[in-house]
Amino acid sequence: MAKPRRPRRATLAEPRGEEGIRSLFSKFRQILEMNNRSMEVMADMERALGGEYIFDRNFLEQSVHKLAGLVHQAVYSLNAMAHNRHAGLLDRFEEIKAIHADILDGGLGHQANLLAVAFHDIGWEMEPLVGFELACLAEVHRQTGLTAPDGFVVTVTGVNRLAGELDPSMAPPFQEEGETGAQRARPADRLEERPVKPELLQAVEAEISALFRRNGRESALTVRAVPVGAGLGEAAEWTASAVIENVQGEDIISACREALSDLYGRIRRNDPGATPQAAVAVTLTQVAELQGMVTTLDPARTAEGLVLVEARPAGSEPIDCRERYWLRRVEPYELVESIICPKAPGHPSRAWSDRTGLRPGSSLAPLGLLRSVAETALVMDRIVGRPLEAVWTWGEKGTLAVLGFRPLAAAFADTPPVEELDREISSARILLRGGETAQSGVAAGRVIPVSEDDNPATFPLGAVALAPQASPAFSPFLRRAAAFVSETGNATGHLATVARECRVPAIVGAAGALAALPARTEVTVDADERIIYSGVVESLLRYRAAGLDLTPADPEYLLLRRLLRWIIPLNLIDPHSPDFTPAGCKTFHDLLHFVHEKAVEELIEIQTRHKEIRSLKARPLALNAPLDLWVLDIDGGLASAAGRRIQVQDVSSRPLRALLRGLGLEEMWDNQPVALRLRDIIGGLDRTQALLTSEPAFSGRNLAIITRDYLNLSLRLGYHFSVIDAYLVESNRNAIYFRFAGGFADASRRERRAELIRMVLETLNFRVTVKSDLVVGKLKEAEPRSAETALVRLGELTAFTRQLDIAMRADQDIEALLELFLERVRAQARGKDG
Amino acid sequence: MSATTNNTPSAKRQVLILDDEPIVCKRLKPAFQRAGYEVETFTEGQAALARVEEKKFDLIVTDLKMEGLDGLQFLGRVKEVNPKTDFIVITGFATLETAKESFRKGAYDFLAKPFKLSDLMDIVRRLERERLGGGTS
Repeated sequence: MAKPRRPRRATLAEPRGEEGIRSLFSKFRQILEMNNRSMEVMADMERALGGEYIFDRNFLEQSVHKLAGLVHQAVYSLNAMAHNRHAGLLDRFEEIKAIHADILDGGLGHQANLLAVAFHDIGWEMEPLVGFELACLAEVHRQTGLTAPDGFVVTVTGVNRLAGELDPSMAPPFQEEGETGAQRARPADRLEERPVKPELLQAVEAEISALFRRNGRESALTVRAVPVGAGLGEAAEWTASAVIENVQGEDIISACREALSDLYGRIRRNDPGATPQAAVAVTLTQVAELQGMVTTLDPARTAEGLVLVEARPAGSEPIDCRERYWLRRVEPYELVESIICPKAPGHPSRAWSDRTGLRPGSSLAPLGLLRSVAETALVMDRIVGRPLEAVWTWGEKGTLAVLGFRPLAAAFADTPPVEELDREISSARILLRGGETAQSGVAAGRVIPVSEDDNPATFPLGAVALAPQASPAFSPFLRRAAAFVSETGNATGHLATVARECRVPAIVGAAGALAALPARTEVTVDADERIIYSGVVESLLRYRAAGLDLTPADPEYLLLRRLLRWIIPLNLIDPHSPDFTPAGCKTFHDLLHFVHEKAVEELIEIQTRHKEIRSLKARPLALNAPLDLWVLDIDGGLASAAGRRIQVQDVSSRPLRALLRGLGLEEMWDNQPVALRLRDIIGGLDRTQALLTSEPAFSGRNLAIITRDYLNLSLRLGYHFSVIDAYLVESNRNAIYFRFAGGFADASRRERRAELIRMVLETLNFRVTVKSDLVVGKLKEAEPRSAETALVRLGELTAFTRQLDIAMRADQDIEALLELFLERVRAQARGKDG
Repeated sequence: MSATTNNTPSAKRQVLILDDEPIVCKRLKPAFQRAGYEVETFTEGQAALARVEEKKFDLIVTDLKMEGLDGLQFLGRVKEVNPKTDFIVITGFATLETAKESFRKGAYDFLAKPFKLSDLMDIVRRLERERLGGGTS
């Protein structure tokens, strides 16, 4: 029998000569095209999170499919450019594509094998592993820094390893009121005989150790089980196990089993046939002084739109009472009414008086705490997208923590008060209309104007942030704001993305906002309709509170979030990092970025990697400068009438034209012979020798490869080498790469010249790295005008620095020469103006 | 249950939304309610058709590609029962052909998913103006 042949990766036909170079450029253009189109698809998907668009599952499937096609083409084109040097990228592409397919099929994706995970690593996309409630608590904590007890979650996978597919019939009946732990039947004991899978034990122990390290010491733990799976958006099906407190680290597995048995019992009481999935939350036990419930919209008083906070003493407090307080839903959360218990004489109650005119009283909870509870719960309400009730505790160190929550029944969802809404809206005063919706929703609060210099930590939680522009610098304010409005900006910028991440209603590009919205007055922002009303339009807030938006409780929202997790984040940022490899690509965005960087590298190194270029018919360029420059036109870089010897006016390549404007300035060239000392000559001998024996590409002619909008220039001027690679079109995606190395003088002088170049490049907004005498500068996503200016300046710099290393004998020469260079640039500009 | 209905007689304009994706019904319903409509939503064509046979709707917003009775068949059947009912077709499989076919069968307008809610409501307002002004589509 013939031995089966190992399938081979298809090798790409490699056109040679000028055709080969053209093909290279064509592939590069294809990559740019795929990149741009992918960014559009990604932006559409990301924007769908904001609630402005009506979409369905089909949109998600089609988008993922389309994106996969584009990314695949980009990966393929790179390999065609690089002779399959990045073949591993195709494998990584297939792996990420398989994760998308698994998510669309309802699988747990790449994280399916995760047994335990710290709270701070949880996001919405892990909802199938940890459940809606825990994902939400972790997300609130991550986004806003609001207090939730630190801990970790034993995931669905971990729970399944712990107990197998626990048969609900093994679970005990629902715990009756007043029944103690000791009286409870404990069928979990039966499970305890099952050996714990070593990998699970290891994962849980690792999380406990990490938790204690973060806490600074070992501590008692609290354990509770929560259900995971479909239907959790409905409050009726919302349940959780009893809370098991003061568990020691070594008893954690047994406590998990007890919590799971309890949870399954509760679920079985409602649905005897249920086969639930569950996760277990393990947190540091809170030492509480006060505890209670908070309801973000009191169902008994919906017309008034009030938050209800209930408080009672925790643990060993000497009195037994439950107090109730109602606060407004709008910052600063004024207290409207309270019912407090009579206190025994001598009780250490907290006396407070309120400026609202309410009588001074003696309540369990100080007003500041009540406001904190209300604002914390309302932030959760915004993130979840519907009213909820949450359990809170207040510790002896004055720390507030939310232990758990559940959404309120969607009782109001079918009966929004539309007539009342119409009446109130028609009589409300409109302060501003217009702009773009970045995140839909409605919120009310005081207007607080913000500037980039303000400290976000002092921004009042729950206020409306008013900014001059939608700058990324305002992102931290979104973590505290109820709504965001900016005078300029658009819904595709970074700030809009953060608004969607935080689910903060946001209108950007609302012209006239700064003048129309008086500071510190209350307004209602309706981001859907792009209208800002004066005052608090209560019926509008209540109407939106009915959970009618796209929210994390919608499967499509969570599906989109899970998909985006493997599409949008850019993890590979530094091309010099050891992780900048195909294996380091975790998302489609990473793959595209990797492809783009490597494709640019292929072009930058075109003259060293494609030796056949030297045999191509380049033409000399007549320059008014001491420089021999040859030009190879690939596509539309020269006028068709250009002769054997090209004149500057024949050049139609936009980047080369810009460079020549700087390179051709006579005053930038210092043509005087440089005074060399014996030390300079001896110091330069090794570099002369190196030059003679170097790679032919470096000792070849100065060659510019051009197209209408592209330039790749390799220059050898004296003893230094530089490469300029530039792409210049009428968009904001222009890029310039500049590399400079070498020189005749000793190392310290060459390094001074490198420092001078760095300083000049930084004035042009290049990102610069310097290693010894090697300078690499990158300018990305530049506007056409600034990219053009940068190329003119690079031409001037190339001329100016030709022999400067020898002249740079002391560190102070750097500043002096920088000033001289800038003065010549200024003189040139003055001359042009005059 | 595949539909949410309300049998209370009302002077409000009546809209029926048919889309096999519940998320679309969930999101369109409050928008139409706020625009002053009495709204009924359906995720199955047959159930929607049965409802149309017992109640007159001013406007129907329907998806095209659905299991069982698809949007165009539904449109055709409803027009037989009540030719004055206006249709807005929404679809994730928008092609020139499906758009032409929708218009040929009497749809007032055609929107490709995903679409901005405000774009749909602009169409609804335009339709209302035309109907109140006696114009035609």
